Amino acid sequence: MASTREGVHCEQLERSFDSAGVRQQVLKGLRFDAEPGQLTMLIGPSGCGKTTLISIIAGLLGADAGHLRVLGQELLSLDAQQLLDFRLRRIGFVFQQYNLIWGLSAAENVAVPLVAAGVQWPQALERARAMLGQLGLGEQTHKLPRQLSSGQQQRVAIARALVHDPDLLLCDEPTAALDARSGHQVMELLRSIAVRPGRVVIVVSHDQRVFSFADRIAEMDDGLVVRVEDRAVAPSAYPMESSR
Amino acid sequence: MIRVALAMLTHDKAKYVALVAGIAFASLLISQQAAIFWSALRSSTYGVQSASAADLWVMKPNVEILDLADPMKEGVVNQVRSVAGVQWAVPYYQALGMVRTRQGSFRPVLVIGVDDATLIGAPAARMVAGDVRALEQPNAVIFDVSGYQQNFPDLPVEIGQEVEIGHTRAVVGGFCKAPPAWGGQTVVYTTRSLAVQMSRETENTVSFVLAKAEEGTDPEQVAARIEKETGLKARSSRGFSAEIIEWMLRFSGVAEFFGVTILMGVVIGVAIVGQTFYLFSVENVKQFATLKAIGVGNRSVLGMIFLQASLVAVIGFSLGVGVASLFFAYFGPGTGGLRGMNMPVAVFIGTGVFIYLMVVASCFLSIRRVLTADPAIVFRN
Ligand SMILES: Nc1ncnc2c1ncn2[C@@H]1O[C@H](COP(=O)(O)OP(=O)(O)O)[C@@H](O)[C@H]1O
Ligand SMILES: [Mg+2]
Repeated sequence: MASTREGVHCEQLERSFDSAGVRQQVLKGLRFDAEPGQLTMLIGPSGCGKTTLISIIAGLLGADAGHLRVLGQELLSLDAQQLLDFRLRRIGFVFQQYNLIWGLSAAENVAVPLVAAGVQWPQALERARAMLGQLGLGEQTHKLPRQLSSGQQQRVAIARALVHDPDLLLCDEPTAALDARSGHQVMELLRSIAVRPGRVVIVVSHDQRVFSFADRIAEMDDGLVVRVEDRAVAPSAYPMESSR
Repeated sequence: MIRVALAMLTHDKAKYVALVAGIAFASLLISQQAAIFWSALRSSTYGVQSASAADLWVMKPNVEILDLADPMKEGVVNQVRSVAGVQWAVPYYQALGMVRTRQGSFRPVLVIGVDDATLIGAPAARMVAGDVRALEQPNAVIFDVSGYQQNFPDLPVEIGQEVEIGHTRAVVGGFCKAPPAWGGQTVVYTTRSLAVQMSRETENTVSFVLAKAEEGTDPEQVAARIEKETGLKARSSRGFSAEIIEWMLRFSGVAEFFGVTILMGVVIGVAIVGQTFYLFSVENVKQFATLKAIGVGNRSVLGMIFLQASLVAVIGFSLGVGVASLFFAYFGPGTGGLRGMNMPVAVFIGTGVFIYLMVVASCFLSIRRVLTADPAIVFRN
């Protein structure tokens, strides 16, 4: 399965939206790459198309034109069911607003992707608790989201995104709703737990304070990636895959 | 994903309670009004049901319902008997009478006099104490038990009590359950000879002729023959019941009265349930979208919404119909205007089906929102 080690590669990606009869091109033939084993940060001003891009990479949104290879799959050629399966098994999501299920405990929330994939609740919960433990939430597994601080909620969301050991982790502004300290903590956890060989981690952010956690920064503006910067993040526990 | 669906449903206790209460209220309103409506209609044919031995009713051509009869001369019974296809025919008499309360005042009752020899038309199947054969004793009457309690609150419900109807002494020989007559009067059964005496009628002493069609003949055909040969109006039991109910619907005002209330129940129900459930689902669109992003398919999402809808429908409906049934259990046996009413199975099932369809419909409206929701909205704030 050499292809699983492939990262995310987009070329000539285009996407437009019609809103109120006006056609607006949001992605304008964009090129973007993210490699396994790295944390790639996607930055840029609000409205430049970052969310649109990762929605397409996640298979949640179609593209109008271009090529998109995700983990060795030609994503744009998959049908709805295949996309669903692909997301269920291979992608983890972290959202700005956490998007936890309100009525479920932390552990139950984390177990959802496993249960959706057919794992029985007891086993799923066991794995969920272990995952929460790794993220320093071993004491909070039974709590409902509203009983947790926002930083803790986002950590629960990260646990949910990682519990099924995905090959691609997509985070959209994971620290935007958090104070500086919790934001820093969340990035540290992503850095130390989410980044591993073979896994692509893409974090959308326009939070300057967290740029230092990136192995690569791709800067977008007006529907295009306008600058790519590879950085040496030190110290890193993981061997870097060679980038261009 | 059942656990997830239930957690989503019950997480906001206040909304959950509002949802269940809305459905319960709609179920209560609809089932209660429909039950009263149904009971009112059914009770209008009570006399026909009681005379189950007869399958033909003969009356003056101007008579439309049981309680508004126009008595005929005794000779009509023989006229009917002589029509080919009639196995037997007996007279049936009814008249308003006055019962004297223990305080000396008078109250109207509907005295029904059944054929002295056969007792056909007596409420054999509706006795709560005693037997219709008690009417074979001199001066015996059978009282509707609730009406008896209403008229004689100070008398025990006991066989053997003496009462006075139309200046005639009568002995209570039994108690039955009979809905009040069209004008609200208590129903009292006795023999025709005694009923005639109580009403002081001398000439027109046959309100209806009850008859039986011969084995193997169609009552409808016999009825047509009776009409042709006697010039009277004749109906099969079933046809007469249907006509009475039609008359009630057209002329009595029950249809308008209850129609409006039932419609109100439906409208309120749809408004409360539809809106609450719709809001509930719309509020949860993002939660469902999150599940879809994670990789939960539309079928699972559909199942979850369906489970949520079914659960609130069943709980709300049970509560509502339960309260309505308690209502009838409490007032039905009493002496008030609701006496004798109950919750018919048809109303129970009908209300249940309606409530369920309503919930499923509003659920589908909301599902559309959820299913067509762009899963990419999970990234929007
Ligand atoms: N579903 C949509 N319909 C219409 N316009 C959209 C839609 N999604 C995004 N857009 C528009 O596309 C542009 C880029 O949006 P987005 O990708 O969310 O930017 P970013 O995440 O960089 O802030 C914005 O102008 C936004 O209004
Ligand atoms: Mg965005």
